[in-house]
Amino acid sequence: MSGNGTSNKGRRLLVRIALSAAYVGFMAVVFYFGKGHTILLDNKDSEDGTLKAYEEVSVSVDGQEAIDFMSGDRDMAKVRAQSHTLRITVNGQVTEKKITVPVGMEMALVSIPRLAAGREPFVTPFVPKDQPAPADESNSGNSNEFSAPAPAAPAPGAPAAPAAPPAP
Amino acid sequence: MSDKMTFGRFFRENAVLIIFIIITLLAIKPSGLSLVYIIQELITRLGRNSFLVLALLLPIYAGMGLNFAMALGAMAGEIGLIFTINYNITGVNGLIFATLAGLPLSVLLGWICGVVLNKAKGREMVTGFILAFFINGIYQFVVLYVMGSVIPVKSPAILLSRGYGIRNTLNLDAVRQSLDNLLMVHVGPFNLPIAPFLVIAALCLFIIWFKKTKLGQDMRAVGQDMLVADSSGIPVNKTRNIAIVISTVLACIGQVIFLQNMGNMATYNAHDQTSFFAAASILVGGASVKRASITNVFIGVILLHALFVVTPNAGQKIFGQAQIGEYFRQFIGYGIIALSLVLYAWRSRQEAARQREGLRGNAAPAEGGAK
Repeated sequence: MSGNGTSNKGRRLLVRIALSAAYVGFMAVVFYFGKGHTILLDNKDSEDGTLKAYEEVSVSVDGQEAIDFMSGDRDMAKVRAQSHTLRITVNGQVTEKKITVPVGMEMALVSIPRLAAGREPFVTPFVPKDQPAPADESNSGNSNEFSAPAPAAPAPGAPAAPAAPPAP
Repeated sequence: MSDKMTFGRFFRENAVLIIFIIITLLAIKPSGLSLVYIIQELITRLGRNSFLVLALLLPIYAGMGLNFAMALGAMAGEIGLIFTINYNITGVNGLIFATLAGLPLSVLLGWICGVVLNKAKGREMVTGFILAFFINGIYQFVVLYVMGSVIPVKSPAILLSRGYGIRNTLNLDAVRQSLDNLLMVHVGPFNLPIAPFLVIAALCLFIIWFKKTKLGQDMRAVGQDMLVADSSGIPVNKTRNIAIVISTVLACIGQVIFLQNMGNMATYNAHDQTSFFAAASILVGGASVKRASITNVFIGVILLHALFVVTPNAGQKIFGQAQIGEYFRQFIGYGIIALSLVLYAWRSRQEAARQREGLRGNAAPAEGGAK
């Protein structure tokens, strides 16, 4: 009887551990396939000067709307997950290239001339120097009003805030 | 005489609903809003709010009244969303991640809430209300001081410039309306967000199924009479605890659905009004603190939000100030809750008086009794 009870407890513990592991595993899968990245597309001469920027090039990331670049231009695309297909169009000639952005890289700088030439490294991490200014924090946690939540005014230079939300 | 009594009883039992319908109908004309606009707004708001209101049902079945502590679940959902934005997880994956991150916390908070409410039987609503304030203090401490210093939060987009603490307002662009746009159907002039409605329908089916289970029946038995339920061998405290835990978990998911539709989050007070709006909605729909149904939820959400849509414009047209409509909205929100509670107390007293008369062998006509 006692042995049975112990075995039941052990089995229950195992099931709980397995369920917890499955839960965490599912979170990891969701994280991996949902992780967003910003890809900065750079049409500039390579630093060593061996590759010249294209005079005119069009790039589409993962089937998104194509972005046109002149020499020296930089633009960005927001993507999800790690593997991406870039469709590069130069003078009507289309080339498809695949890149992989590591999970931990929030912003990746992709050099179009290097990518088109297949010369590594065409994906490099990008860390912005100027972080956005903080929003007004003077009123944090002071309101219990029965009204629609009002977003704080963005600080100068901060990214554009979304439109004021409709009342709930 | 008999007809007059029936009308009086009907009015008393549905006073909140009737008053609301009258005010809404009167406000539509002066608001100047087209019917198409109002209906589209109501569709959007049904998808946004219904889940949160449905979260109130189980505690009412268990006789615990309106779960004002559902704000605890909302806080758990917000913490999940903070992590989602911190890790920049986008789209529906972001919503699932926020829910998964918030769920264990909501279970823990729900369990704490259940234990506290079991110590305060008969005063669950006011206890839940104050408990929400208490947990709100802890939430603010965690979000304002612990996040970024102890809990790793790296994203400069959400971190205060001092290096710890989360900003006042979070931009939820990464997950903004991702559930709504997952399956958007255009019917004539209307956009129907099918995915949130499917989630809500699934919850409705769950509630209908749950009511038929042993636990659901126990919950109703506990709600009707705790002493009788206890005598029948039903674990009263455990059953009440489960009702609150499920409600808190549903509030967590509901808040994630709500905020993804709004597109941004007031970090420190987005949950303040959650329970008030949900409670006001279900009461407007004809529910009381002892009796509620899924129908009450949808009627309530439609009526309350119809009024919310039209009053600012009606206030603008009638008084020349949209702010009057905003005040009216706040007044209505609190007023409905107060009116419902007063009517419920009054009806309960009437019922008790009627029963006393009955015991004395001088039965009064059956009217105004709480169901």
